[in-house]
Parts: sequence; structure tokens; C-alpha cells
Amino acid sequence: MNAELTRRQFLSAAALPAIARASSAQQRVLVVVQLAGGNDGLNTVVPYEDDIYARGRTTLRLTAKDVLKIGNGLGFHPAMGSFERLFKDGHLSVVHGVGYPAMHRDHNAGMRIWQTANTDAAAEHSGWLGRAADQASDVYSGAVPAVFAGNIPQPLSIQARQTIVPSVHTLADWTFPGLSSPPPSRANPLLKAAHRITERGLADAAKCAGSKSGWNYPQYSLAQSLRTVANLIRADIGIRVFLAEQGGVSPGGFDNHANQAGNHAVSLRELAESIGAFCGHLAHDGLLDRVLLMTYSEFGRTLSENGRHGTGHGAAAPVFVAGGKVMGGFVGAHPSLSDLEGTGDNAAPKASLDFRSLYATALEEWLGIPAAPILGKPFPSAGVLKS
Amino acid sequence: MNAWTPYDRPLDLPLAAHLYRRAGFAATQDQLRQAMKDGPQATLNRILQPPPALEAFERRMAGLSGSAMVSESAASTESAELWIHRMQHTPYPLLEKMTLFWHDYFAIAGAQVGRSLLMERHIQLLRKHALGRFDALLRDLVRDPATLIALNSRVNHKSKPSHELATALLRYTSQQGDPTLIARAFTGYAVLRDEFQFRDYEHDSGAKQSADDTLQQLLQNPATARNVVRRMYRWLVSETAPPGDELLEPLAASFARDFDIAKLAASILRSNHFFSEQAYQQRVKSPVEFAIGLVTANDRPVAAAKLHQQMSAIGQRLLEPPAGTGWAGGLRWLNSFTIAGRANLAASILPAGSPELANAISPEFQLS
Repeated sequence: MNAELTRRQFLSAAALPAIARASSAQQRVLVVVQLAGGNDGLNTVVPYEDDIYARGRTTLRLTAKDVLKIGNGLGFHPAMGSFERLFKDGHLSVVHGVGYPAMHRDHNAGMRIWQTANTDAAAEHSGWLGRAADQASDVYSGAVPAVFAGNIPQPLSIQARQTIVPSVHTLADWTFPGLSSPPPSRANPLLKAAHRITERGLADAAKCAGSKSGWNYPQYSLAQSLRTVANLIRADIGIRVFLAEQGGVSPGGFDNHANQAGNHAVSLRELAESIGAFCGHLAHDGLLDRVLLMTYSEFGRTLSENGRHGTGHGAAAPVFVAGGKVMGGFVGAHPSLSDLEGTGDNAAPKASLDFRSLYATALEEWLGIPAAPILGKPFPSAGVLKS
Repeated sequence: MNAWTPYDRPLDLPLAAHLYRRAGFAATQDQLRQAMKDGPQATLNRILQPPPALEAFERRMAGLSGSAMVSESAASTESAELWIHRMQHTPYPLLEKMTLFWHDYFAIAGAQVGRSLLMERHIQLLRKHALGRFDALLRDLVRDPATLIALNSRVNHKSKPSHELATALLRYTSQQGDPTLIARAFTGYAVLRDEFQFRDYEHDSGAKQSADDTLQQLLQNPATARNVVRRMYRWLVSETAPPGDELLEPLAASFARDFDIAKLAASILRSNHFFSEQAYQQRVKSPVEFAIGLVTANDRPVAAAKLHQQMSAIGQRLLEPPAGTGWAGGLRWLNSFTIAGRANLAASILPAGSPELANAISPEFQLS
């Protein structure tokens, strides 16, 4: 009896027509960029007027005449002209002091925490974006809720419990070889579902093929990934969540223990120019208002240099959010350099905003996906969006 | 007509193919012709028995799995590729299909173990018992280094018993119980230099039960046999309609008496129910079933590394199940990207414009 009922329920669910796709032209999209290695927040958004900063950075110090000033005694690293422009246009916000109390300073453990949104993450197999994909996906429609755009193995952030999340390097990966629409199939509901998903696959592949754009991106790896993301947004096939990355696999390209100055400038130039090109492309196509971009890195770095012209693993750092609907300007206050986490050479900026508040904002306020089930508990809004 | 009595009508082509898909990955044309001639029960006698060629095959595989490449790596890639090689060439596909079943059941992920050698031994353990006895499998599993490491029990301290191991055992046996009590029973379990070790001084002498008694009690609860039978039904029969308890009861009662996995699988595969429309095309092929099926049916073996990469791209990275409950399966396998990815995988193996390729791309071929 019971089994029969369940079977009937299954059949009726499977036999539903393809859900009329909510006009995806209205759908909002979240793009997250992972920065591996622990980005030095203090030399990214530089408190150039702060004497404590000046004393801590004996050789790496950036001065008033180096930085790109953005107010409040702060300036972007000189390689970040693209960010300065986005910031001045109001399309980029700097969120100060993001992290969590007593931050992990080990690359793997620290990254797992940001990826899983769980500060006790050892046993967690899934990431916060993966769980968002699980919430968003409608099994019977064949829609792909989330995509990783990059060339490394999928970061944990976007690994789901149930949903298959594709890794897409270039738009050319999304092709469907030589098949016209298959003939409609017969009674078996599972076969009907497979048929419907095949048709969706054909339609989506055709949209991808038609979505190539000539917009000019720099040759950086992150820029190429974001080009793929932009083209997939243009293709309008219903993807809600994207992950891209810079810095590669652990320990990651932002990990500058020695001779930081040159490497860091190269990394920040790639970051700023890639995101600058991406936002320019979206704005040109009238899509910037539908997109929220957010960065994260596993930790910031120590206030003090280490004697090898580099910095050690630190704690809180700024997060960047960009898009047509961000408030712009600064969110929160720059961390005080006289009240640090850790002591001596290990002292580093303290978190003033829990990273999961930003995640909650992105999930719930932006995507409309309930955040508490994904993050384990409710977090207050970080208030980065225009109301 | 009783659901579980043996099916005794002749096999037509679709049912012969159905049997080979479920009891392995796919049939060759010769196997299909032979099955239609022999009928279901004689064909099953052949499928269920280890073939004479198995011994020589296992010797060849043992040579490969001892290589430094497999044993020294942290990532599970090499072990996964070795398994994919094995699946493509084995003379005993049922054994690999059931090993895959237990991999999905226990869902130990290589990323959490961080040592290819231990994943290789873990899969060997699953294979050793895949058609053996479930009680013996479970007893070996709790002393398996990969399992212990993945379940946060590299050292199961008296002061901090592993909750993960206890909750996993409750999940494997589908029971509600107090994980803290179970966790205390397994204190002292540890892994040292890739081997299981029992540390007397880390064992909680105040634990109410020994580890052996705890396992015995979990096994004796009828929920355990029912859970294995339910999972195997989903694996061999249908993912669409959850079966009622009354349908499974005869299988569960028998399995609870002897935990004989081969007998359970045989009862299912030989049955009227298995050859009915309740089972036919009621599963979605996993990427492994899709790819290995494609390769074996067309007799076009592919380099394991390439196939591993292709199967991962469409959602199944062998040795890396995404959750403690295994792969979600069913229609979760199919979406707009993976269906295109399956077509691309098929197109990389089969000639362009061939009827085989057209078949592999069809919605029917995505089902088992």
C-alpha cells in the first residue's frame, strides 16, 4: 500500500512537464573567486598613513606616493588600477576585516573552513556553494545550478552532496556532438525524464555555441575563467552560482613568505584586471545588475615582515564584492593595527565581520536561497547590497 | 506469481541485455546470443560463478597494484585508474559491480584518507567480501586503516572517542542509537604505519560493551539486514520506486540468518521481479556504468587514465564519493551538461555517424 503510494507520487513528479523556466533574464547570479595562499590584505588595501603599518613593513611598505588613494587613509596596491576604477564607479566595495575568531593559520585547514563555511570542518565533504546548488537544483528539469570555471580539480567550496557540478574551462567544453532532437519516448517516466534532459542539453549547448563574445580579456588564467563565466551568463541557461579561482592548488599563489613585492604585484594585477574586464563586459551587455562577485582567501598575513621580504600566515583580511547592486565604498572599519590577533611576529589583523555573514548575504539576500540550512545557523546580514 | 521465485521464461534481447547491465556493465553480442539460447537460469549460473580465467587475471592485476605509483601517492587517482582498468578487462564483472556497490555503501573518500596505498587496500577489502558475508565485511571494515582515517579515528582516544566512526556504523546499519556509547567501545582503535593497531592504554575500560559485542548487537538488529537489502534492491532492481517492506521481507529474513551476500544477489537476479517492468529501465546508469558499459559492449578498451578523467567530468570520481551516504544516483546523474558530456565521451570512443554512437547518445542508453 505504502509502496504503491510512493510509486504514484514518484510517477506524478517525474511526469511533470519541464518546469516553465522562470524567465532567467531576471535571475541573479553569484560569482565567487577563490584566492589561494592567503592574500596579504595590508598590502592590498593599504593603510598607508598608519605608523604601525609603516613600522611593521620595513621593506614591503607602500607609501602615499605608491598607492591608489581611495579615501579614509587607504589606498589600493599600485597594480590595482582596475579596482580603483570600479571602486570610483561604485561597482566595487571593500569589506574590511573579514574572518572569524582565532583564525586557522594552516593553508589546508584554513581553506577548508572558508570552503565549507564550517569552523569545525574536518568531516565535511561538501562546500557552501555546493550545498547552495543542492538547494537550487530541480532534478527533473536538467538545469545546471552551479559551475566551476577553472583548470584545477574542483575546490571543495563547490562540491555538492547531490548535484553534479560541471568543471567548464572554456565555452567549447559545453557542446553536444551530432544529434538532433531525439524522438519523444514512451510510457516509462524515467525515460521521459531522460528524454527531457537530453533536449535541454541540446538546447543549452546551442545557446552556449551562440554566446561567444569578442570582448577583450587579458591573457591571465583568472581572466579566461571569468570570460567563460560571462559567456555562460550571456547564454542564459539558468546557472545561478559560479566559482573561479586564482592561485591554484595549495599552498597557492598568494602565499608570499619571501620576496613578496614582485609576486604580490603580479597576483594583484591579475586579480584586478581580470575582474575589471569581467565587470566591463557585463556592464556593456547590460548584465552587471544581475551579478554579484565576491572574493575570499583562507587568511590574511602578519603585520610584520619576516626578514626574507615576505610575510607570515595571518588572520582577517578584506573581501571584495563587485557588481551593479553593491553599495560601493567601504563596509565596516579597517582593522585596528594596535589590537591584533596573535603576538609578536605572528600578530595579524583581527576579524570584525564573520565571513558567513557575507555568505548569508550572497545566498539569501542575493540569490534568494535560505542560508541557515547551508551555513548551519543564521548569520546577520553583512549589508553590502543596495536595498 | 511470487516476486522472488526464479524466472523461467526464455530471454528476449532486451531482457538479456538488462541482465548483463545489472549483473555487470554490459554484454557483448556473443553473450547476448548465448543468453537467449540458454535462458535466464543457465545464464545466471555462468554470471554468478567465478570463471576459470579469474585466477590468471588476478595474478596480472596483483602485479600492477604493487607498483610504486599506486602505493606512494597521496591522491586516489592511481588506485581509481587501476580499478577502471580492472573493470574493463575482468572476466568476472559481477564481482566488480558488487565491489562498486560496497564502495557506494560505505562511501570512504580518498581525499580524506590521503594515501593511495590505503585506498587500494580498502577496495581490495571490499572486493574480498563483495560476494562473501556481510558480518565478516563489517568486522574487517572497522579495522581497515582507510576507513578509520576517513572516519576521524586515526587514533581513537579514550579522552576523545570518534563520533564519526560511531555515526557511520549507525548509518551503515540504519539504526538509531547512542553514538557516544558506540564511540567508547571503539576507543583504542588506531592506525600506525599503515596498519591497524589496538592501543590498550587508549581503550576506555569503562565502556559498557566491547567493540566486538557492539558490532554483534548492530548486526543482530533486523534493521541491518533490511538496510542492506533495501540498498541492494536500489542497486540491482530499481531507483524509481522505493520497495515496500512486505516485498523485501523474505529477502531480509533470509539475509539476517546468514548475511550471505552472493545468495542475496543471486535471489534478486534470478527472480520474476528482476525480469519484470518493475526493474526494466528503472535505473539511471552512473558514469562508471555508462563508460564501462560502452567500452565492454563495443569491445573498445580505453586508457584508464583517460576514462577516469572523463567519468570524473560527468560527475563520478571513483574513490571520491561526495557524501557519507555515497553518490545520490538516479536522475541526479543527468543534467544538461552531463548529458552532453556523456555524448562527448561516447563520441571519443565510437566512430562518428555509427549506429552505435547514435544509440549511446539516446535517452534510452542513459538508463539501465
